[in-house]
Amino acid sequence: MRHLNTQTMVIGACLLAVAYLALMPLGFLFWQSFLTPDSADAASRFTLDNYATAYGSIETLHLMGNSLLFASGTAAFAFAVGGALAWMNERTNTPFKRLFFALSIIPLIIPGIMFTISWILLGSPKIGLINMLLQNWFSTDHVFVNVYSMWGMIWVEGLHYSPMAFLMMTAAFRSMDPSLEESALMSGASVHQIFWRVTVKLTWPAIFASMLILFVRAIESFEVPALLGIPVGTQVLTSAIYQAVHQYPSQVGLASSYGTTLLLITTAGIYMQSRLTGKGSKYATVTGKGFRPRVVDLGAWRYITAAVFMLYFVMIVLLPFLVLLWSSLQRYYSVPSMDALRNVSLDAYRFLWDHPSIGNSVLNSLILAFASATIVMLLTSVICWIVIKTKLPGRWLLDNIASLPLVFPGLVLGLAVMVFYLNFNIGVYGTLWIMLIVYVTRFMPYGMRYNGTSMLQIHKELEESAQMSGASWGTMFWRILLPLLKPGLLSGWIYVFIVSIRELSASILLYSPGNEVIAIVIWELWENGQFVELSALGVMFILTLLILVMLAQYVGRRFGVKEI
Amino acid sequence: MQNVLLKALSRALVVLGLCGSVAHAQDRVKELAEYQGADRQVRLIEAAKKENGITVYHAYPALSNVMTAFTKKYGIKTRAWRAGSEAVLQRLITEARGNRFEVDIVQNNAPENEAAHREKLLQAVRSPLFADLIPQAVPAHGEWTGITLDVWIAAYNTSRVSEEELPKRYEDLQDPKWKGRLGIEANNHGWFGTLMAELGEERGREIFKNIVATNGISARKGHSLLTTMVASGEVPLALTVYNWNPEQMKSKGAPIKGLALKPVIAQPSTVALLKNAPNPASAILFYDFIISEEGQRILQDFSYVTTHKRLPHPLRDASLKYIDPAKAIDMQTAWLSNFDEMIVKKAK
Repeated sequence: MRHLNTQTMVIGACLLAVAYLALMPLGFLFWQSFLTPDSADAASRFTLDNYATAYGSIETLHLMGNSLLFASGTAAFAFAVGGALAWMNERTNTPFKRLFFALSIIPLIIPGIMFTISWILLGSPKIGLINMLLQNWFSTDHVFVNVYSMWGMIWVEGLHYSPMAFLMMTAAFRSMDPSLEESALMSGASVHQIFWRVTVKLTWPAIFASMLILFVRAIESFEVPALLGIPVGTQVLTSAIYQAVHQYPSQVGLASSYGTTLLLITTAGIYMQSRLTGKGSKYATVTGKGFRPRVVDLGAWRYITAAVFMLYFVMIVLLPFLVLLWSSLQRYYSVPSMDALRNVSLDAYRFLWDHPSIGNSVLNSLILAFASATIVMLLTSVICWIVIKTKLPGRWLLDNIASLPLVFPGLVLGLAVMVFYLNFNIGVYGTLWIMLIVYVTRFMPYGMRYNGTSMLQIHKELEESAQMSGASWGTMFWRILLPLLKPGLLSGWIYVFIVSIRELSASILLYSPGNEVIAIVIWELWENGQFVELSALGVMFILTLLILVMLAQYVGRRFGVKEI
Repeated sequence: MQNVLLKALSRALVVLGLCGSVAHAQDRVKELAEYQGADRQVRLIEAAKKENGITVYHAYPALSNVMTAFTKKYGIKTRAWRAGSEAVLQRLITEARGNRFEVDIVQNNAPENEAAHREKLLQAVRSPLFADLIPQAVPAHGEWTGITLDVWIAAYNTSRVSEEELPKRYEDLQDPKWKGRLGIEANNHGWFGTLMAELGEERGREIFKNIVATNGISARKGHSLLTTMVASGEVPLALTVYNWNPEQMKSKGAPIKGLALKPVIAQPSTVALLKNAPNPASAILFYDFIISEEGQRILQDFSYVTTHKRLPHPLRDASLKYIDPAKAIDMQTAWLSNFDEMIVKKAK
């Protein structure tokens, strides 16, 4: 009887937590979308005007078109890059791949503004270093690349989020039984055939999940369209949401009604995914039969894949890093030249060293990132178990509820949480706790996708044999499922940890004096026009991440933590 | 059932009690803020001793320096929360509706604090120091006070634009030599609306229509970004940066200079006392400090144009035009869509 109780309690608690975290802002969003703005002169009242304004114009269609193009382009490109890197890293014998794992996730840690600006400095028709270099070589004034275009936007956003696909696909490839590929090889299939007919087919749920989440995230993204689209008159849906919220009285209702489209798109995506995963154990590759990770021997091709890695490294990591490094050593950004070389100084680093609140902000950010990554991954592991391993009716709705916070505009989510805890005063307002609540809500959808992908690969027979041997549900979950989930759990944890450090749009409303996080410091430096100091901070972020990941890998190997 | 009733009753009592104490606190704030007797300063200092520092919500970075100087002078601690102007307003309104009163002083752009006035969140202060300020800094309702002026000027990259080719008037920007060289901040509809009124609606539209058609204007999000882009050469001439933006960059040696094209337009940045300030005496001391010559001088040192009559600034001359904050709120939708249609959507 006792094990049943643990099971009921854990599942019940997780269900309640998810419902509480996700339904509250969802309710707020719906409720607001039917209200006029509230002000002291005119109290808000019921209206359908928000929907009429949002969807009654050609303008919205136009914005939506841009958003869809941008998001699908970004999803496809980010997936292609991240997926290919993950495959090379996990499934092939490409040389130096240990090093590449750390390098592949670096773009994620660079704040969006910095990443985009480095690409302006690289790819602008006027001052872009790439253009200047090529124009110099070929002595022409032809513009080779222009970052201010739809393609430029897709390129920058896609590169910035390729680590998301990389982490997700890494998890999927790690849990894949290579014997299937080996059997194909034995039966005379070529590497090419194995890739398309076995590898891709088996990882299809992971591919779909990555694409879905990349797509929705890109639709919701603001920085890249604002910095690269607006200068050339290309606007997307988030521009309209931003403008609606940043008015007086704040048009939260209008922003919410724009938001409902995103909710519908996500719901459709989750439903499709549930159809896919509903097909039973077709994708389960982790079975009772042990497997050793073995990689595909690419032969001479492995030098090509190593070259691809090098190219990626140079383009995505090194170039923006060098731009940041260069700018951090200047007193203001100027195009590299012998003249500018004479202005090199370490002032920016000195400034950061003397900054009164950076130490405290870093600490707060680390606490929040650690806590939210851990809570999100554990919570969603249980939810994913319910969604994938049980036959509970309506379980795809549960998946959907846990995934919807993905599309709330950050500011609306922040506002919803703020209003809620001001009226339901349990003492979290004005503390780090309220930010933890927002982070967990906001990043729960990512946990769902990362865990879901790995959960799907674990065959039901493992659970069943645990139960046959008399293990309680709790023991089974803790001793069997979680360890097998490790690839997804770990990838998701890294992802949530990093994006929590960067979260700004909800944090800015909810932080309090003394509870600053590092994202606020970044925002302040940016607002103050301290681009140089910001670059220095970016450089330090990258170096820290690199050292941490390498250290983790080293410790892992040293102390024999088996990598699956 | 009984339980529920009891709960409801106790809840009602709590709410009533809260309303009572809020009303009481408001009276105290009002009394202190409107007191004009000769012993005003002494009373404030005396009352401040029983208070617990002040909490300031602000949008300006340089306010931190004023707060440091204030703490040094009076020994009153300050807690600061900083965000963008809209977020500051949003947080004020939302907290007040949720009956949470922690903030004493808010510093924000004039239209945002005018909005806070309309939301009935602010308390007018009768300070003897108002006489030293320019008239545009003190509105009739007295619920906010201008501490500085955000003056929009143009800025150009000195290695990409020569002194000789600089425009003298907005009309000059219609010259095709500016093709692909102009930039603007993407949210400056208030500036644009006021400029159109000053140039004459029809003439103004005609000029900007021509500029956009012939040369294109690239819109950038945020004044800091726009200024950085000018200094780096990406935008050779930007139409709307704040006057201190190029100053700051120039002092670091960047090839950038400000350029005032007439009519020059300004908007006050303001400070206000909250109606429900928990530490009103300390807050009023801070209010006085920031509009005193001492506090204003600190802001001037950061290249701000102050509102203090004894601290003149070349930009604060007779020809300077001011955005009317109340009008900025009323005209918001019209100005926004006008600016969007004419400039931002046609950006290239």
